[in-house]
Amino acid sequence: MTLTTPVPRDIDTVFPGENWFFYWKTSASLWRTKLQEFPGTRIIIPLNWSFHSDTGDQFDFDEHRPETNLKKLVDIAQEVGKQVVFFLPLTPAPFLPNGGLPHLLARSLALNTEQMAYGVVDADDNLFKIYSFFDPRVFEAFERFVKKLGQYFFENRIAADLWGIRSGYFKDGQFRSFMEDSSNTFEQAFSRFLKGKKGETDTLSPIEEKQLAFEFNKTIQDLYTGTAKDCIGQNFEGTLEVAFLGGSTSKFLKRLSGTISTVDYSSEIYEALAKDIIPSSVLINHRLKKGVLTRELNDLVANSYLPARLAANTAYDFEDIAVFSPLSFFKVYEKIDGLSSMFQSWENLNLWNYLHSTYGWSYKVISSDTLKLHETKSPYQEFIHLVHGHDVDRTLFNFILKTFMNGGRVILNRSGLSEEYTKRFETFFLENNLTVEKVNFKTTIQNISLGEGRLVLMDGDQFKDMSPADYEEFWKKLVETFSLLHIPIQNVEGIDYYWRTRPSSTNELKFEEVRRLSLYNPTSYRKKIKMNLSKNFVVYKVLDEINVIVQTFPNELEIELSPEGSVIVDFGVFS
Amino acid sequence: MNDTEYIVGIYNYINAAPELNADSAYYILYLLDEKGLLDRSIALKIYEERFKSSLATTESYTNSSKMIGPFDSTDQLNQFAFQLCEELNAAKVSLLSVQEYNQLLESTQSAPDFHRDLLEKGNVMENIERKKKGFLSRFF
Repeated sequence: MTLTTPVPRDIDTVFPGENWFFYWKTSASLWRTKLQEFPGTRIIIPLNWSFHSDTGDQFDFDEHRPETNLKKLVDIAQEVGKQVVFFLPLTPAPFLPNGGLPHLLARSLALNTEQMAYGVVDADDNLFKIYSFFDPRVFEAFERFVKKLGQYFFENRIAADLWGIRSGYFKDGQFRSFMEDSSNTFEQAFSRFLKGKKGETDTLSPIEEKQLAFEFNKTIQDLYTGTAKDCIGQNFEGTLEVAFLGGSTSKFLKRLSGTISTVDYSSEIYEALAKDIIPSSVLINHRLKKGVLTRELNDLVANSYLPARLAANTAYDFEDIAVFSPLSFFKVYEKIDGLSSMFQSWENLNLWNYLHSTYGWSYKVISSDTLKLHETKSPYQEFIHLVHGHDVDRTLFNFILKTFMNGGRVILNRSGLSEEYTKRFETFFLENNLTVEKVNFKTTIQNISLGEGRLVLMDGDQFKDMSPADYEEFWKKLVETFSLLHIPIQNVEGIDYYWRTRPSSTNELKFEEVRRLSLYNPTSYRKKIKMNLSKNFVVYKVLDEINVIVQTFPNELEIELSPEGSVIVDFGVFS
Repeated sequence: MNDTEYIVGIYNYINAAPELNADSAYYILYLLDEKGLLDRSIALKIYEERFKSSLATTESYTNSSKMIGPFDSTDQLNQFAFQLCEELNAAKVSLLSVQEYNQLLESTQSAPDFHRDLLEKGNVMENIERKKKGFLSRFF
């Protein structure tokens, strides 16, 4: 026990998490030492706009302060064997004062959808506020900054990749962007946008207005992104969404009281991974980033998911047999258009509870933004796609048919399916002479098969007064018809766990696949879990045992995790 | 059960369901105590039993947004906050509108100062009954 206030170590301040390097928080003369000491091979350098420009008009790239010399930073990194990746914030960035805006531009506080100003506490306990990106002066200044940055990269022949990042946080399981704004500045800009559309929209219903507000927000985000892409040129690799753990208002308020703990953060890591959003722990206080939370972040994010996202423009490279990618049995489509949440949701149908209790986080939530990442069919992972009728548009309709025809499996909730697409599906079945089997189990279910492909249509509107247990039974029966190969875990409450997978290598030919289970106990209790191994699974390796006892019995595995304990277990899988 | 030291409530005057042509009303967005976000079950129970008004008949109001309300007036809000304070035997309750919250956040430079302002600069109501109770009241 120490009797003094712990002082954050300098290394924690400049490397706040997942290989991010805050170059402005240390002297340029120390860059080499710091980078040499850092164990990782790739460093992520978020660009700090306000550090290079106080006013938004004039810029400093080594003209005045040596810490603004990005060329020198890249050179040093290369000399000490590190690869540099730049992150350029395209939305307010919660880890920077004023959300990253030069202080002369920080004029109007951005307000979240609850009309509360965004407040953020960073890893060093500094209080940051977020200012509106909808002020035209902010956009003009951003354009000047990225022009100058692009020119600087070009003149100095900086070849490092640069990704635009869109910052957000989790609220009630949903990813929300820090770009969301309901301030007067936003309202003024939105009313100008509406005036431009006046011919089409004389009087707007609240729903239409909500939809247009979403469209406007997206338009402005695309404007920032497009400008950055045009000005940066070849270095610009694309955009990534980053969820800052602890960035929500509720976590901010909890943090103020000083009672926040690691358990408050870990579920956000898994939410982010399920939604193909990069989790970042740079706001979490250094004191909490010891033990199990750091292991979760290193195992699941810094050393696996993040490199995979940065390596290519596709989410996962199935060809690379050395890399574990997230295990997903389900790809659940949720359209993000500001309106979709008003219709029947998967939450209403109790799907999340069922998936969590039976499959943990072995699912992906897909939106129109990430659909492309999931078009590639894995040669060894079989997915069940779940889609709502009200989300079906031309793109999604084609996606469903393509998936089905290629031997994929789709469950379509007909709720909200338009007449046009109902007819199109019927025509498709007739034209291809497909047999439609009908069954009633809590609702009407239609099953259509074609080779390995299956399309199941269920009528979500017909569910009446169903209890959570009824929904659980419904999903259990329906999903069982797909015969998924999986090992359920017993007594797993309070334990964080995550499944990953990779194809077997040439010296593992007895298996078809290797599945990796990472288990972490963030609680202060001892936990014992059991797994009944079916004939398709064998325990292959047990790795990184910390405060844990692993016992294997015939057809059973028992794992006892002490508080802060963790372990990784690899399973060989064969059919 | 340990007594709560303080409660902070943040509320807003909003139209929770404009698509249903509902009226605007007051809603509590967040309730905090010294342990973080307050367990909402007690607050919800008090609301359901003593404050649920005719405004709340529409299903849309009892949505999953975790707000507590609607309340007709700030008087009702104050009564609710004070009754919650009594129920939890808290020393005081500080009630702030989101506009007050935003002003405080804008003018504050550090997290501890902001936290202190939330406690001190809202509409603060003290639970005098708690002060009257002595040490022995915790046992009898």
